[in-house]
Amino acid sequence: MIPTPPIPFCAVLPELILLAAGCAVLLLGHSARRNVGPGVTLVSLAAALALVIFSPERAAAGNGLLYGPLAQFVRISGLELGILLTLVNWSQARVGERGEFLALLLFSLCGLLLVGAANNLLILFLALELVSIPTYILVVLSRGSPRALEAGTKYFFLGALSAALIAYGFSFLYGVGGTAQLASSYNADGVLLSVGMVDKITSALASPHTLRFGLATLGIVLAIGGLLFKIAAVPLHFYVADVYQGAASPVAGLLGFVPKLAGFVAICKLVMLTGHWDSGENAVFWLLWFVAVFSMCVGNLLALRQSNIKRLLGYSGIAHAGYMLVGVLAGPLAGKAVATEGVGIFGNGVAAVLYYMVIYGLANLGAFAVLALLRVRDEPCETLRDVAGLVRRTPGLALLLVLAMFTLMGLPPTPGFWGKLSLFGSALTGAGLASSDGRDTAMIALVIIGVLNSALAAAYYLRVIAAVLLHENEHPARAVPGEAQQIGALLCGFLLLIFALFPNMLMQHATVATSDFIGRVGTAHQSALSAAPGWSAPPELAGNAHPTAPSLHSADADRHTTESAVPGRSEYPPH
Amino acid sequence: MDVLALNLLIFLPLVAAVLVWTLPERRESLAPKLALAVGCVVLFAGAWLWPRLPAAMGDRGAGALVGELKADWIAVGNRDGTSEAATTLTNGFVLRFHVGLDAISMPLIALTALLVPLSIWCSFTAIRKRQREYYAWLLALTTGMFGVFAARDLLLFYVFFEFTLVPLYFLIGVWGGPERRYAANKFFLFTFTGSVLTFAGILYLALRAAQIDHCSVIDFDLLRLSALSLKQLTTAEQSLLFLAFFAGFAIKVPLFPLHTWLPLAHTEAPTAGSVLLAGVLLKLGTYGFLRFSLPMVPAGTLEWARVMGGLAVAGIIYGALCCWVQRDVKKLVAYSSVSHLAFCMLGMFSLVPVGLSGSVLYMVNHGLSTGALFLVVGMLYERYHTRDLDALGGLARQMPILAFFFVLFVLSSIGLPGLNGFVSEFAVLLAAFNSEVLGRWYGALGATGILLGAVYMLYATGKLLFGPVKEPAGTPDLSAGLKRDLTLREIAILTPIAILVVVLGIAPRLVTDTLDPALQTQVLARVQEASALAAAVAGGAP
Repeated sequence: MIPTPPIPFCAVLPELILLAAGCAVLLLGHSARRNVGPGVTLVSLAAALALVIFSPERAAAGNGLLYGPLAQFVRISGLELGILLTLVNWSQARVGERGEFLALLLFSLCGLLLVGAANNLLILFLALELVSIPTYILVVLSRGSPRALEAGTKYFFLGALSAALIAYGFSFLYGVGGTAQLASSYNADGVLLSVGMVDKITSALASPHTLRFGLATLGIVLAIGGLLFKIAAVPLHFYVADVYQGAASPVAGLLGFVPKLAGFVAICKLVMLTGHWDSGENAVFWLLWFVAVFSMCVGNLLALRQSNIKRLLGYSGIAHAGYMLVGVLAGPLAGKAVATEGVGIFGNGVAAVLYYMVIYGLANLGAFAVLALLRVRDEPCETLRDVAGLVRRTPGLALLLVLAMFTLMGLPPTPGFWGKLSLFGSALTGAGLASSDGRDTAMIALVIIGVLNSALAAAYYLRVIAAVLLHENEHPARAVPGEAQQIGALLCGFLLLIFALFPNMLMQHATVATSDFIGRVGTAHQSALSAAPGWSAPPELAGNAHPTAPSLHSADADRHTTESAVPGRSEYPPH
Repeated sequence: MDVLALNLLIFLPLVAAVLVWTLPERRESLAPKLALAVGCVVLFAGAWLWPRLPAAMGDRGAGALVGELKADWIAVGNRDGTSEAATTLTNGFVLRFHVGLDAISMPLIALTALLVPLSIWCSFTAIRKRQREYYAWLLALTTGMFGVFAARDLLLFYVFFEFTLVPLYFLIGVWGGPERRYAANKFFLFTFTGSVLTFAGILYLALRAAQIDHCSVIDFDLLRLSALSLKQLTTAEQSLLFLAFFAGFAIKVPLFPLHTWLPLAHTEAPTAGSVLLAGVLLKLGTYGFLRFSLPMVPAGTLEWARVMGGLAVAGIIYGALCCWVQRDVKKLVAYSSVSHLAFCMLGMFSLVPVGLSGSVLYMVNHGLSTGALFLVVGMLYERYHTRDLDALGGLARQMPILAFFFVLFVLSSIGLPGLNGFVSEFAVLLAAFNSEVLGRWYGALGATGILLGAVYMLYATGKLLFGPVKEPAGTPDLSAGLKRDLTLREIAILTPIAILVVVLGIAPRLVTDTLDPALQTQVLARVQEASALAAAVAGGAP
């Protein structure tokens, strides 16, 4: 292993704040005052967010972490959604368990932030587990019913299976790569500090009929396969409906964002390893293609049959994972097919995924927040019948639910539409980049399947909308008092409206965030960096470059030495 | 001033919609008045804009825009230079809020501006529950309709195009007839399914445009997309793109056999919904074909023109035959829309000048006469709570004023010379006969539609207005402050349309004088270019 300078303490301060606050909340949870625990949680999240936004030094690397634009995006969106999640979950747990509940929420969010920063297979795995393990318990704690217990157990067992798959896959990747570090790291002058496994994996996948090829493929497929659980994509989707139904609504809203964003970031990091986005001759394409198609179709078809809104949203989450995989397939370099330096989010599938993920998280959370605020005969509101005629009793919540549904449907001009525009746009742009083995046709087919699926999805979202606005009900659901929850729900709706009218900011941030994937040196990266003021490499990283890359196979050693002399993956095949 | 007037058309109804919705409950009676006031402002703004067009075209030629406004709405990418505002965008995509009226959109804007206040006014007695929401949705729909016709950016057009679905969905679903929910769902899902395919087509076209022009900014500008090099956009691509556009627009028109949502939606919708649906929203489809399919994918249009002509002829005859057997007079008018809009499509895909201008004229005339017929039928329904042709009869003696208007609009609808319908119908059939693409058989078969139209319309008129008096027991229901015959309010609603029906019958040049040069330069020139290119390729091949 190559020694790298340790990461400065202040770079990980936001994560440390969350951890410390988590421990504090754990102790304070039994306080007599109801609002102490949630209050501390909220303050810590806000403090971390302020630190992330306003701190001058942002780029840092070391100890298997890499703080760049991507980590920044994950931090900001994760913490913002985290604040909303805290508000919505304000009094969700029973009094005695409130401390544990909120501490687990904080730990899970901390894991999410670490996933964004992870630049090492081991750290990535640990961060993913830090995201997931608290969520298993959150599902159980959220409700006092046996159903929650069942959901939590189911979630845990499938989660354990997926963790095993991921770890197994990672071990193969480590074997082929010879290091656990993902991307090579460079200092501000573009001098190589330490070599990642990218080149090794890419070259292994580019030489079929060798052992390395087989091992690398196996590793990637297993790891991505395990991650499909986190994003709730087919074929690891079986838990979704039961878990969403079993968990309390606010926790279900959390499940739609935190593990999903973590999963997508991790998948993008793995796909980056394969070099699929540069040259794209490997099995990952077809794996993800079929997963995307089946996720969209299966999710939507199953959702069509639901009368329970939580199950419906769960199945629709599968379909949304499918849409987002379209963006992953297109990749951050799709825009090269049109212009040499790309066309922004329109030719950047990963940016579209990040954008869409935030929007989906907001809309999903908004819908669940509304459900959490409603009671029918003192029972939680779950079915279509329960929300019938909602607009007469609580017009505000009803309109918020309708807005969330239209966003998920992707009707213009809701932010969901801008998201679909970016996702499908990048896929069509990417179709021009693909080589001539039928993959461009496959991408166009994927887009057509995608848009038809969004029409299919309209059918069930419309059922919810129709129930809320068109149907009458003798005993409509009543809103429970809860100021924090109401503020949370209101903020979700407000942000959705903001992003409907002014999606620029978020799109720009998402585009900048993907520059980690595009390469450390290169025009696209430079221009993306220049678009984000305040980015600078930390001075303590300036050091001597390691001269050669370690390599497992001596036959490749020469090639790798020359490759690593040209840092990173800045050369792209011309089109 | 023009810019202000045009944006007033688009944004005032939206603002008013929010205001109306948030009125306090005890002020509910203000909602209709406020909405009508907004409707009147819209009408005045439309009337203000109308005479500006010939002046602008005199100054700046056939492509002149009235009230043009161009601003970036979403612009993502890199800005060169230091200051954000004054620099150009590279490597990104841009969606512009670009609106403006040209000779093709102006008649439809004027039609909308006329029908909106009338449809608001006609709801005064018909709508008695949830009034605030009703008028709010009606005003939101107005925003969508103006936006669609004013948009000069393909994606902006699509945004408005889809946005119109939501208000109409609720108008049908909440205030419609007994099967309203089913009708609303069917309407929404049909149109949404079609338009998502159009969405994919729009994306593909914009991306290819950037590729062909070697431009690093993807935009959706109407003129740029209508001026792509036809040599680079292959005929196969254009053919597929035409199909993508077809999916959205043909369902909206609706073209046979995709029309099945229409009779249901029309029958269940409240009167104002029917009026706007028939008068304006169906034109979104025909306008889409004219504005986007023809100039953007002309080679694809030529490929599919015969099929479109065939579907149009089938629609003319099928719609007319369906009308003949209807007992519900509203459903009859709805099916007549299927038949009439098929005429419009026939004229458009004849791809000759007289056909295109006849087709646009047809859009306006159909909006007037069918909108008016829906208004009259709505007035009947308010009194008798039935629209069954077997249950009603001899009403001419009971309500002579209504009978006068009904007969006038029926005659206009079947194309009596001297009234507006005749001009456009004649132009369309003339075009079909003379078209190189279609040929005389399309014209001959289409002409039977006129005959059938006269048969079913006069048959219904006879049953409804003449013969022995038949009224259901307990009617007319005058509880809402109506009279047996039309009230002054209702006469005032119908009179403007009646005047226009006559005026446009005598002087269609009011519309066509500005329309013809615009159609020639913006639409037909592209089609001719494509056909010349195809001829050159065919000539060069052997």
